[in-house]
Amino acid sequence: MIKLYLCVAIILLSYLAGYLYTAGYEKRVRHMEGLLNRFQQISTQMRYSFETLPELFSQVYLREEEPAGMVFAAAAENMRQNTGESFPQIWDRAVRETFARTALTESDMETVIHLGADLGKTDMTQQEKTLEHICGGISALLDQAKEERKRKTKLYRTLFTAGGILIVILLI
Amino acid sequence: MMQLEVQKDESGGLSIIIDQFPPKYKNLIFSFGPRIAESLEEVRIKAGAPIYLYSKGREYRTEAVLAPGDVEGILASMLSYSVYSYQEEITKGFVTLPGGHRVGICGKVIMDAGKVKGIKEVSSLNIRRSKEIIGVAAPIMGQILTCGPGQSEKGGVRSCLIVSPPGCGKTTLLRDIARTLSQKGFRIGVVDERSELAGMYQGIPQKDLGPRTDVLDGCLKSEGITMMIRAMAPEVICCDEIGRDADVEAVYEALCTGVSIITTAHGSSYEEMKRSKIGGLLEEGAFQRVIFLSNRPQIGTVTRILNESGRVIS
Repeated sequence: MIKLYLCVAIILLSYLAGYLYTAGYEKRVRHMEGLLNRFQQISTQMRYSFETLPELFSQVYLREEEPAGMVFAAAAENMRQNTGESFPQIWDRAVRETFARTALTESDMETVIHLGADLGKTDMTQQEKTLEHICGGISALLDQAKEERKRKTKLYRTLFTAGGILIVILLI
Repeated sequence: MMQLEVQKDESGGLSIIIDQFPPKYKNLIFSFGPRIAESLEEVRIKAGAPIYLYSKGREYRTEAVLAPGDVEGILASMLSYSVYSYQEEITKGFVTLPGGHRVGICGKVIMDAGKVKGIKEVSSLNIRRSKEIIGVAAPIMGQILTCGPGQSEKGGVRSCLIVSPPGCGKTTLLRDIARTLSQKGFRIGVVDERSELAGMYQGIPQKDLGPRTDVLDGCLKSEGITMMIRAMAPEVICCDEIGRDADVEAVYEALCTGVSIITTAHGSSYEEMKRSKIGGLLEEGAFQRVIFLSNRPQIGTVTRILNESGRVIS
């Protein structure tokens, strides 16, 4: 009887290990969605209120405190500190500072840095196009992240569970 | 000649703007010492040239020369990295910043269908201090106000035209007249076409225009005067620098509705004004007082005041 319980526990634990191992893929999708939502909010808000970037960034951060919002809080703070940096430098620094607290990959980070560099520097018509481009770019990353989540979670959960079953077989 | 007493400049100076400069340039400007930094009247910034500072009539310049791209960097930090937020103002060639101070912009102008769409490749900036001198209008208020039927009545306001060449204090005087009348209980409408009178910044006037003053910011005088009459029922309308046919028509409309007009115009003599587009208004006695200003011996000196018939009364 104890042996049976042990076998069930091994299989459950290996499934759980697989689940934990793939949590990063889930988080990456969530953080990417958070980033996309915020850029969409900024786009809408910018068009109607004409508020400055530090104001818009602070607003989207206040709405929900999570890693994806931190980049906007950091950028708003960097802009207010008036360090003499250009916006691309400020954005670059904000993304890199907050990157470690997200589940985004190095390649996601570079893309987000590249996409955000043109914010604020043109008139509203161009800014709308810039934000469309940013949202399009992040949507593409999100699709990749979702695809990867689908593939990898299935693969690793199956592998970990199969590993558990193998251990049970060997024990028996 | 009447000397307008300079009592107090409440504008807070250009330090608030210089503070937003990238540290490298901020330190260069502040290196001239706090006295100069606090009394700065103008800062001129140009790519490939030193920064020129003007304080108490003297010119100062930094040793360092601005590199290409620095001017755009300074402008970006002054605009909170949000050009789109100021695009309407930029098409007029200037932006108004906190404190009502104005930044004039030069660069490559982008035209679209005969209209200015924007300015790119910014080459030079001119940051001018917006002055506010509380009480500067006090010596001439007696010429503007008419007595009421009783001691407690507030009386009326004469329509006035303030005339001078540029740089003699017309706008500063007009602003203080608006503030004084507002404090005396009159409903004032200010049509601030160039955002100089109120220095509106994010919906808040940066200058004290009194408690009963409504401001139409960035609106053409010809449109704004009519809008103000219909929307806010003012007793007095103040606007700066009339001169076009449409402005004259709007002034006529205001006078027909019983609203007093206090405005300014560029000029140096009554005869010159009579030959200008606003000559018709003077001929018909639309302004009960015409106040001439000069910058000698100092800015804001009232040289003479004429009545509606063009007779010198002071």
